[in-house]
Amino acid sequence: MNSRKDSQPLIRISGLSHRFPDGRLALNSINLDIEADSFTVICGENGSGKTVLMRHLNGILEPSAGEISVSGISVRKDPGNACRKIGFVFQNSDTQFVAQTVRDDIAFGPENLGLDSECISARVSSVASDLDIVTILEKSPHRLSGGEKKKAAIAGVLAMEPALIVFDEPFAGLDYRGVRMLIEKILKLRKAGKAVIVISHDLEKILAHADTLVVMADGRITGCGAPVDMLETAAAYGMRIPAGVKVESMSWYLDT
Amino acid sequence: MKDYRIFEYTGGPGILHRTGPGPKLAGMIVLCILLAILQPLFLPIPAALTIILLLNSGKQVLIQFASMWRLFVFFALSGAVKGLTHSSVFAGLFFTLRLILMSGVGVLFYSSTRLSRLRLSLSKVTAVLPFKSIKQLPDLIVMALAFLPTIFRTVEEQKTARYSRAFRNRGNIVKTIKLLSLPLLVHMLLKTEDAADAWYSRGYNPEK
Repeated sequence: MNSRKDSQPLIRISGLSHRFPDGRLALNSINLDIEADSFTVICGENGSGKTVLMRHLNGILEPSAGEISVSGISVRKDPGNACRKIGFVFQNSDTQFVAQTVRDDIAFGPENLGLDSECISARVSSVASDLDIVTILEKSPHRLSGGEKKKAAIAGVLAMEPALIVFDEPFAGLDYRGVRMLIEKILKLRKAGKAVIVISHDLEKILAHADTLVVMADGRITGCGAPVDMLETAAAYGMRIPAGVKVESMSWYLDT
Repeated sequence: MKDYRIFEYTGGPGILHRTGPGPKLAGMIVLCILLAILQPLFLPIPAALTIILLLNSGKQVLIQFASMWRLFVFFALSGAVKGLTHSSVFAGLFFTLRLILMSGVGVLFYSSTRLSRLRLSLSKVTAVLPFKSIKQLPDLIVMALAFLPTIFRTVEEQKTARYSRAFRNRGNIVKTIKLLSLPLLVHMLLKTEDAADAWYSRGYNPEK
């Protein structure tokens, strides 16, 4: 759908389709390139296939047809490469936690990468300090507040040092301060050279920072381009676009 | 009381918190066996050891142990049945006591052990074994143990949800069990899938 450059993108999705066991077509011939250090927002109504699409990126789901490559390497052939390069922050942070304490949970990914204990410990300290969660490292991740859970979930992903981080509905359940905090962290990641994909239908919270908006409906990409060019398409497919608000103002982080 | 749930790791000052998972696992298994098989005359020895360890492990572990009181009621009923069938009050009493203390050992182990360290210790053991399939055993054990708090959390969430929708248990035990077990089963299957996705997306590869 989007224009394809000659250079190798970070992620190339070609003709991707996914059919559920009950025969329903969740994704229908998706073509999409995600560039390194890009900021993409994917929007669409519930059930449009956003999350299913993203779950193919690191091989959680296997496509019925088509191909995804990460840095030129097929996800099907080397899912380990995709897991290393793509971090996935789940919509429900509780789902993501696998350990009893925040510290162990952050260390889980690096352990799976086969790093030595010193390196793991350094990474845990580094991300904990970046995300201001040093004080909750020994707590159970399931007992934290919504904002803390989100930070702990992001820390678990960042510790693997991925090139791209996917946030699935990151603002769900967060209050105003939580949303602002999260956008701040996302922008920090962007500044650090990470590619970011945010799946959200809350465009007014984040769109100002994105350089690409992808609109999905019924398992297809119905629009992909600069946010300012895609607003009408997004509105046509059920997204709420605040009247009279320019794209560059669509961010809760820019509120004064 | 509700702040601490069964089968959750709690930090603590106790000796068990400072012991490595391997020796601790071996010690706890021996303690459980002693509690199960020793004659009543010698039972006070492992019983006293269990109680000392519980007291030494800190308040949070004790609260976890106390929060299992419903299970203890069930043990007491089982003990009563045993006492009646054996025509001996002491047989039932010791049976109940053994079960309660063995639950205490379980709480002691779980609440003082970081599963990540247990996984590491078990992996060292299975790494030297020649069978390829057994190498995944530590991961499977840790996955299963990590899932226990999820089950307890889900049961509590579902109880709250039913209560908020005006369901009150009025003695219809079949209805109560049906309302608890079916949604729990469905929920657990979904959560298992989520857990597998989480492990996989965080770089876990069972083939490695």
